[in-house]
Amino acid sequence: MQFAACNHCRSHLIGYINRELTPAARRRVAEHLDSCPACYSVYLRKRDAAHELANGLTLIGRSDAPQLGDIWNAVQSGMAGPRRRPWQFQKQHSLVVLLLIIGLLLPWSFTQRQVVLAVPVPPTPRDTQITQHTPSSTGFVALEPAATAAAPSTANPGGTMTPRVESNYAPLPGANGELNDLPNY
Amino acid sequence: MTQDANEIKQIIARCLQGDQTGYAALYDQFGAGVYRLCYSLLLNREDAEDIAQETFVYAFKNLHRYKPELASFKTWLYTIAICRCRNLYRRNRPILIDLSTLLQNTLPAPTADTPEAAMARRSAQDALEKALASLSPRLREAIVLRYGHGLTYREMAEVMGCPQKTAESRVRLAHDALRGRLQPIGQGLLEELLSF
Repeated sequence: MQFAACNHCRSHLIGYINRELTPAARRRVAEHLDSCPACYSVYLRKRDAAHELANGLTLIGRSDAPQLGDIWNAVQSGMAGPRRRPWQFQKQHSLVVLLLIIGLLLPWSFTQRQVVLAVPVPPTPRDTQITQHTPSSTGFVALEPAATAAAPSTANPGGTMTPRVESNYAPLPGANGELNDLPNY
Repeated sequence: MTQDANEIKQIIARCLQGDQTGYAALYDQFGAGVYRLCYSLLLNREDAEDIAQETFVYAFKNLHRYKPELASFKTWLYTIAICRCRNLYRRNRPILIDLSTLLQNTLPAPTADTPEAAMARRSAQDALEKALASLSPRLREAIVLRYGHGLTYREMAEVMGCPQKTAESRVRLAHDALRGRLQPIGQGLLEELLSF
C-alpha cells in the first residue's frame, strides 16, 4: 500500500512542483510528502532541478532595454506602414519568376527558331485514285481508273490496271460460260 | 478570472477604443517574454527581433479578433509568435547560433557570483544553447515553453496547436534528446527530472 502511494506521489511530483494538479490531487501528494521522508527528499531534488533548468532557459534570450526599445519602434512603424518581411518575400518571388522566364526564353533566343505552337493542322485535300469495278470475261475484277474525288486526273487518261490478284476462291459459276450448263428450274 | 487577466482585458479595451498608451502597456508587459521565446526558438538575434516585431504588429492590428474566453492574451501572443517562427523554419534555414552572443558576455553576472562562478554559469548557458540548437523545432518549442516560460501542458497544447498528451510526450522526447548533449551539470538536472 505504501509502495503504491509512493509511486502515485512520485509520478505526480512534477505536476505538484509546477502547480498543475487539481486541489484534491495536490492535497493527496502533499499529505504523502509530509508522511514519507524518502518521497520528500525526491521532491526536493526534483524541485531544485526544475528551478535550475528553468533558470538556465530563462537566461537565454534575455533582452535589454535598448533592444526592446528598438523592437517597439519597429512595431510602431510596422503598424503605420507595411511590414518588411512580406515585401522581402515579394521581391524574392518576383526575382524567381523573372529568372524562370529568362531561363525559358534563353534557348529560343539562341537558336532563333520560330516557336511552333501546338495547334492542330487542318486536313488538306489529297489526290486519291478511285477505281471502278468492271466485270471481266474471266470473272475476276478488273480495276480501271475512273475519276478522282477532288479533281479528275488528266495525266493518265487511260488509267492504270492494278495487278491481277490471285483469288483464294473458285470462279463463279457462269463466269466462263458455265452458266448455260446449269439446269433450268 | 485573475487580477492580471482583468487588467489585461481592461488594457485591451482601451486599445480597441483608440488609446495608444494601451499598446505600449501591452508591449511593456509581454515584449520581453515574446522576444525571449523567439530567441530561444530561433537562436538568432536579428531573426528573433524581426519575429517579435511581426508578432506585435499582427496582434495589435488584429486585437479585435482576440477572445479572452478562449485563451489568455499571453497564450494568444505566443501562438502568433510560434506560427511565425515556424514559417521561418520552413525556409530550411539551419539554426545558427549567433556568434556575437557567444563571443560577448552580454549577460552581467550577479554581483554575488565570483568570476569563476560567473564563467561556469556562462559556459553552462552556452552548452544549453547549443543543445537547444540540436533539437528539432517541435521539441525545442516544447522544452522552451515548458521550462523557459513555465507554461502548463494545457497552455502548451494551445500554443503549439496539438493535444495535451502530445505536448507531454514532446517534452519527454526533448529530455531524451538533450540527455546526451548537455554538460554533466545539465545532464544531472535532466536525469533528476526524468527519474520518474
